[in-house]
Amino acid sequence: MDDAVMDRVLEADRVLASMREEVDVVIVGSGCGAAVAGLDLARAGKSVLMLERGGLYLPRRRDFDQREDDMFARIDGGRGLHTTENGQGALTYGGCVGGASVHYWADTWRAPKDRLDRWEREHGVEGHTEDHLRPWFELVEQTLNAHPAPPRRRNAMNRLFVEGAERAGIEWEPVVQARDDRCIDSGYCMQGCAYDGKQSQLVTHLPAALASGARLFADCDVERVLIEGGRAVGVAARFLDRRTTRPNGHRLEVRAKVVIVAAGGFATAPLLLRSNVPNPSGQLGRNLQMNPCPQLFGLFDREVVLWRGIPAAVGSMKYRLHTFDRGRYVEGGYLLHPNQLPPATLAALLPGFGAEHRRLMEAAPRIGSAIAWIDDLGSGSVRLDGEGEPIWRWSLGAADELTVRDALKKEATVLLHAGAGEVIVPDPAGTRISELKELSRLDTVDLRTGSMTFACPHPAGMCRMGRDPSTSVVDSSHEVHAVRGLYVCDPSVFPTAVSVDPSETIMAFSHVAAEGILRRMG
Amino acid sequence: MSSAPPRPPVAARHPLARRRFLAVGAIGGAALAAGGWLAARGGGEAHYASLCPAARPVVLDVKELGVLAAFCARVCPEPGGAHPGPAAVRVAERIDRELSFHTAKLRADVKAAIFLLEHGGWLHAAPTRFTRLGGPEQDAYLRRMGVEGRELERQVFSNLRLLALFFYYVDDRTWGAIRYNGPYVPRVAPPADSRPREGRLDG
Ligand SMILES: Cc1cc2nc3c(=O)[nH]c(=O)nc-3n(C[C@H](O)[C@H](O)[C@H](O)COP(=O)(O)OP(=O)(O)OC[C@H]3O[C@@H](n4cnc5c(N)ncnc54)[C@H](O)[C@@H]3O)c2cc1C
Repeated sequence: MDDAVMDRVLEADRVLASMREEVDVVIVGSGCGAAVAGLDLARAGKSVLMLERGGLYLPRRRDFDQREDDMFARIDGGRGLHTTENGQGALTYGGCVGGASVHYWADTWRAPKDRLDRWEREHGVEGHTEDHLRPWFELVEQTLNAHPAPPRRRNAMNRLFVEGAERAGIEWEPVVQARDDRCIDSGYCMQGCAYDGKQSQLVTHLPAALASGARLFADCDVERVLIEGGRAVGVAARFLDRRTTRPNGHRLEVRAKVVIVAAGGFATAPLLLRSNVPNPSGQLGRNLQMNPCPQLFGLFDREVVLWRGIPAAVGSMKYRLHTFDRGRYVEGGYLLHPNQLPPATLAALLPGFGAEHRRLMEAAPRIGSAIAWIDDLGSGSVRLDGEGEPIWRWSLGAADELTVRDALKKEATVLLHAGAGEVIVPDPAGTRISELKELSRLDTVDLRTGSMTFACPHPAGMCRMGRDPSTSVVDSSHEVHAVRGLYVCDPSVFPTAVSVDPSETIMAFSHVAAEGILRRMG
Repeated sequence: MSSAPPRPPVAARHPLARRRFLAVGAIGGAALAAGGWLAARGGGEAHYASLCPAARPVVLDVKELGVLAAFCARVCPEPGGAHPGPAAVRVAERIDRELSFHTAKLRADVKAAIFLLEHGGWLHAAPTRFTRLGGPEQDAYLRRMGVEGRELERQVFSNLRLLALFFYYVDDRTWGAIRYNGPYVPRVAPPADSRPREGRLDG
């Protein structure tokens, strides 16, 4: 973001008193969902104000220092420590200007046709089929400079993944990346790009929205959507001190014709619950799916250096869909990828402790890893505690457990075929597998709560879209059935998880939503 | 073969909530309460303070910090070779400081976890506190907790283990031991936002 747009951004250290604003559209959040809607509405001449709870961090301020602790603290919604109530799911999500796109991997996928068709068929979602979304997908891909990384830019783990998959007969393909030529393959995507090479919202839709007249308040925590007579009329918010993350005493009230909540798949439903949004279907805050990610590690006799290069320049779609035989699970239901982990996160995930763990870490540069995003069949929910803080409830259900075990077997297969001398399972027993014939041991590996943790980076479903107000929360225009003028523009509206990484679909959906909002506003 | 999902999955097993760290059933609860009472009666401030000397905790109390430091000493690498060890890196204090940025609920969870770690032997009719055991016994205690323990014990072990290892290996003094050559960009001083976690507590 250059100086030309910076005067449209307000940060809490410049807020000296409580404030009131009146605008056409107020947007909660500044991630993929918010920024796209903000851009389209500002371009159409609406006065747009985006409110972001997190701080504004920029490479030119040298904020992206690539340290895991500093960067989790700055850019992750829960500073890296939020989990589901039982600790089984580690929630990774956005918490700064630009949202989760600031720490995403930049893998760029269109929602598959079968998933969009299913949402239309089973949930009555209208206007979001592949045909409707195609022009928006094309526009997003152009804006994000989305293209496959050339083979020369595959890191060692990516190359091992290709070798292993080919030997195992698993088809793989390049994964489209949202990057430009400023990307230097540093491997610090998850900690926020210090080079503006990764095409996060910080370098794409957000500056464009600001240049089109939108404004952005950072460090601004929206507490409630204001609802009068069944209509959203604005929001109530408070400013936070960035150093302590506590309220700084100054408040903000915004009156608006339209309120868009784009606080992300984990945070939007809690905000609506806190705002006492009527919930006649009972579905608000339910149906949480989040692509839990089981991962395995492989010990190689050569350097892999898991923390360098583009994380997942390749992957395999082969097992994306579950297959069943007369109702019985056979295999699939996940995407398979090479993994990327910075050292301290790797340490936290490797099994064991003391001398045994030390030996593993001393071999850290030779450790590789494969990961899968599980397309969940089960789901979770969110409720508020006495202080209005969200408590996410989720645990790995029986059906997803089968999928996880199958994914672990495929990960082990790839790692062993790629030459790993030993596959390390992050279970409490520290199970090791050194031959393909031992794969069946993964059928009994301990996946119970407290034994294995799953990163969950792709939340969806808690404000699901549908035609029927008795089974869904928003209609196909993204408007909450029960509250006029209140729209949701993030993956909370997806009726289920997408089965691929969701950011491109979130952005395409936001374009559709903004088009409809503009039509209604006139 | 088809890709249609079967009937909805069997209801997910009901997890013991992290919030309910102390809700371990009547017997366990009574045992822990007795342990806690004895611990309180026994005082032990000096014992706990000695486990993390000269520390000034901001969220945890001296006892909790001491237990956490003892835990880190078993979980993280001992000092030696290229490893500074968790005491030099002041891992327990780093965790304490991190907690100051979190909700009351998360802090309460961690405090309850530390309590269970120290007094959880009562659940197995072994009343000696974790910090009073010798090194090998502490390792056996942790192994029992993490591998064979009840869900609650496994949760406690795995969450504290994660914190200890993460906050050890984020410190640049440990990077030589794992041949991590570190970030490509320098850390700015003073940082744009008063760096939230402070790189080192002592420098
Ligand atoms: C580590 C990681 C890697 C990922 N990799 C990929 C990938 O390679 N490809 C891909 O497609 N997807 C990836 N994802 C997922 C993707 O980044 C997200 O799905 C997407 O960016 C979410 O966009 P969003 O707008 O829905 O929400 P977010 O980006 O989460 O934005 C919501 C914003 O709202 C703010 N907010 C929340 N509550 C409030 C409030 N009350 N008041 C004010 N502001 C509030 C939050 O701070 C946040 O910044 C990854 C995610 C993570 C965490």
